Amino acid sequence: MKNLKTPLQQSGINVPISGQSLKTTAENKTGIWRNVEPFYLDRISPCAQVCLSGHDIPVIIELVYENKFEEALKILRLANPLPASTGRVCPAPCESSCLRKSLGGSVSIKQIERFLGDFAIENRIFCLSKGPHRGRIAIIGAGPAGISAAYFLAIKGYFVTVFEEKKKAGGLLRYGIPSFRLPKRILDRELEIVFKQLPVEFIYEKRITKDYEKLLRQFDSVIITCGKSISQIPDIPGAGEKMSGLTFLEQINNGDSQPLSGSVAVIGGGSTAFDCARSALRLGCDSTIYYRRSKKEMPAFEHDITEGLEEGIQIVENVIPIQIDKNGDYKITFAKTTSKDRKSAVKIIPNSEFAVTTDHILFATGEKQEHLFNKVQKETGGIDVSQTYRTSDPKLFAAGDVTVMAPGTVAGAILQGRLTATSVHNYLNKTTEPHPAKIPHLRGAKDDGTTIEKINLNYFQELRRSAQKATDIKSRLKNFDEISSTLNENSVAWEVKRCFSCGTCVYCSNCMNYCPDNAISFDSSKKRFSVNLDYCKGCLICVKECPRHCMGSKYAAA
Amino acid sequence: MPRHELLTGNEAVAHAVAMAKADVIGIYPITPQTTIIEEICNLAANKTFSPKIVHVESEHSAMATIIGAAFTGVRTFTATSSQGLALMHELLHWAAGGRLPIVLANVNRAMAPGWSIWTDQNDSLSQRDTGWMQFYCESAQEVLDTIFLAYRVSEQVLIPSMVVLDAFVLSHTSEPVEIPDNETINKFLPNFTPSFKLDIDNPCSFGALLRPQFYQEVRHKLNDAMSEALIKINESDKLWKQLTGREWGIVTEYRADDADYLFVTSATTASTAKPVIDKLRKEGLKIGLIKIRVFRPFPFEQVKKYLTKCKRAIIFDRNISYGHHGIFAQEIKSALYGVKNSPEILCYTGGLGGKDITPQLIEETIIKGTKTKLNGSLFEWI
Repeated sequence: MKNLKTPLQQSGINVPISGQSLKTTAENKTGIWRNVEPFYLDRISPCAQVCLSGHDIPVIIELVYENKFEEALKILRLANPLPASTGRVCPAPCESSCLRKSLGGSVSIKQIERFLGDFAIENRIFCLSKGPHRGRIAIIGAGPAGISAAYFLAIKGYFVTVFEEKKKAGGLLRYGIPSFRLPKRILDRELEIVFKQLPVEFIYEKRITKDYEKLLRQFDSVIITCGKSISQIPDIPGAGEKMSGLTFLEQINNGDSQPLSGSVAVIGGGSTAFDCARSALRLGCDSTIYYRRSKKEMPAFEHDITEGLEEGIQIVENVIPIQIDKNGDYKITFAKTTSKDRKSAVKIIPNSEFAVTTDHILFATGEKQEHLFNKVQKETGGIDVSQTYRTSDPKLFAAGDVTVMAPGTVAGAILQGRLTATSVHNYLNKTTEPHPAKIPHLRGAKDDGTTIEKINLNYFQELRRSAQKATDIKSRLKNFDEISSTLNENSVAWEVKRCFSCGTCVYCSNCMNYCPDNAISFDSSKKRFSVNLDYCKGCLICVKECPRHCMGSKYAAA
Repeated sequence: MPRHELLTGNEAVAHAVAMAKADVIGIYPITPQTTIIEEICNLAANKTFSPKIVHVESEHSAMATIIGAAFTGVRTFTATSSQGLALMHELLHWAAGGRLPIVLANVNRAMAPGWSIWTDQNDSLSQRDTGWMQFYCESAQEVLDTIFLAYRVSEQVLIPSMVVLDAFVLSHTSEPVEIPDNETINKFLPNFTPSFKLDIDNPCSFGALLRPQFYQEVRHKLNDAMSEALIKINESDKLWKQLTGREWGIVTEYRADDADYLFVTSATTASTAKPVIDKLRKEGLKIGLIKIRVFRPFPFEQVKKYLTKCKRAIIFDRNISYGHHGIFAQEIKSALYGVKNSPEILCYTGGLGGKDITPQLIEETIIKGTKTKLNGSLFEWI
């Protein structure tokens, strides 16, 4: 009989007769099969990428999901001290880019922000300063950018003095946006909880113009945030300052408005035009908006247009006023135009003039800035600033619509206020803190976006967006009361449940549960998953089954 | 005391499986095998034995089921034919590589297309290299006895066994069969004690990754176990003879001792050939018969022993390796390569897809085989 011994047996090594582990299943280090390996990577969600203030939205939503409203508010305030206000007036590009859109409508992110803002007001959750207190900063203008800069400097420990030419703080939020969109009581209460415990002093009815140079000597640093507060009236015969849409809105917001009758013609196509037209409706007028381009080219936000049309505003497209005659009422002569897009100039159609008779005219054709800060201001308008909001004078900074970088939205002005605060801090301390336009993602997400194709839609069913309660149209037009109400806690809970949490791990454990090699584990103290590469054979089921694109893969040597 | 019953080949399989007390049986029907699992279900219903019978949706799953069961250390069985066996192919490797003592009955049926339910050996021979033992039987008695032997040897050497019987000719034809008593079976086939098994108290992985140095080692062991199996088959055959008076051998001969010519074949063709051998002997032709019963492991020594004694071997295959010739013939020739006193070899293939192999056909083949002038080896269709 021949020697039935294998080579290893002859050298004294006995292996099992088949592929068996000798002790535990862990004997088989399947990791040696691997040529690709998975990794965890949180990504900035589409909503956060477009957020005008740079919020880390999925993290806020996750905290709301866990009913941790106060913690969520804390995160909100990392980028924005005024969530109750922006939660009402923000154009919410986050919702337009929300990947949930096709499965029941985008998540009501704006309403969640509003809910948290109202939560802060109702529970009087004040903003606090970290200290130690140092440095004195002057801010010219208490609009969104000024408020934001004051807040972010104050919480860092600076003494801030805000000079405001009007009677109260808020700027556009108070004097531009009508109460039916943002009740002034909300703004008052929000400003109170933000500033009550911060070292910020407001000096009202103090107009700073050329004397800003004096402030530069008194303060360590000065920030100009006075916005654009004057209507730009086109230079046509018969047009005048008294037709200013902004002034009209300001009067109403000051409580100085008189009932109007007859008809009003609003010239323009932005949010101000709609605010004017809708306010006029409430004062008793018929409102018609005349716009030089077509309706789809209007710069007004979609919800302004929709709500305006609901309330009965007429829109006349592709017309441009060329002359105004007053003879008791007004006669406006319009010419018809053609337009291609918002950027190219409109073309007037020759011999297309026609006349409209109206009782009132309001121009909402943009705003301009007075030429007050001659050393740093361009002849054409805005204050020239660098990417870090510095002017040519090292002590002087500027942010918001007064600058050449005019953001055009409240949320954008708040962002610039925040970034300017960092610049001022860096200037005063000779430090180089970064200026992140986005709040640094709390889990270190990379700006490597996610798209609907990367979301595993098998894990998400269609869930309808909560309807926001709104006053019926007839009652709306009787006063300037707020139209919509804040979502209740149940609806907010529903909305946060609808969030995909694109790119942000919510510890669903799919990766761990599907791993055929049991190679994934979760460290509950660090709240972190990790892959044991001794056993990961690179099948990438984890990556595929991650519902929200928080994983990726790369080629790797085994 | 043994009892006698009139059983078809398929019923013989079922009775043997019942007496061997198979624990888990995966079943899926295919003609001509179906009556095996039908009879097994009858026997189970009559409480002759109490297996866990698992109805599955394919032969692949039938084999997968009993592989899983076999890993827990129990006795398992399934039966199939033709396309069903082909569908099991991947798992046949798993069973052998996993060293599982599974027993499978394959009723030889020609592979489609063209569609056929009748016998030939191409289905089982296509699984030649999966690492299974293969036994080709010629009678219901041999089938019954071989099932016991297959369990015994499989459990000794940890290699699965395929017991092969011809469609209809054997599977559906009744013969008197002597059924041993349980005491005899208990002596021959004690309860199986596995050397390894799936055990939740001692978790191990089976069939997992093997690095190259270990993979070949394990294959080496499987091949060595095949060699050992021949010894065990021989020993078991001897024991069976003690217990029942019957032995089946590895290669069996009939009037081969002084033969100039040997007719070499397998399965039921061997039975058909015996009267032809007698007739031709009477007519003065020194002809004998060799039946290859154990095809895997291949009986090199036995083949050499018988075939070096004759002048010429006439090999009759009920199978074909396309582009070559009959598969038994190939194997026999390879066993004789370089061996002193090797005979002349003629290879015939016939009887495919159930084409009748009659005594006349065998006689014609032998006459042809003895008279053909040989120039090297010869392959012909019959």
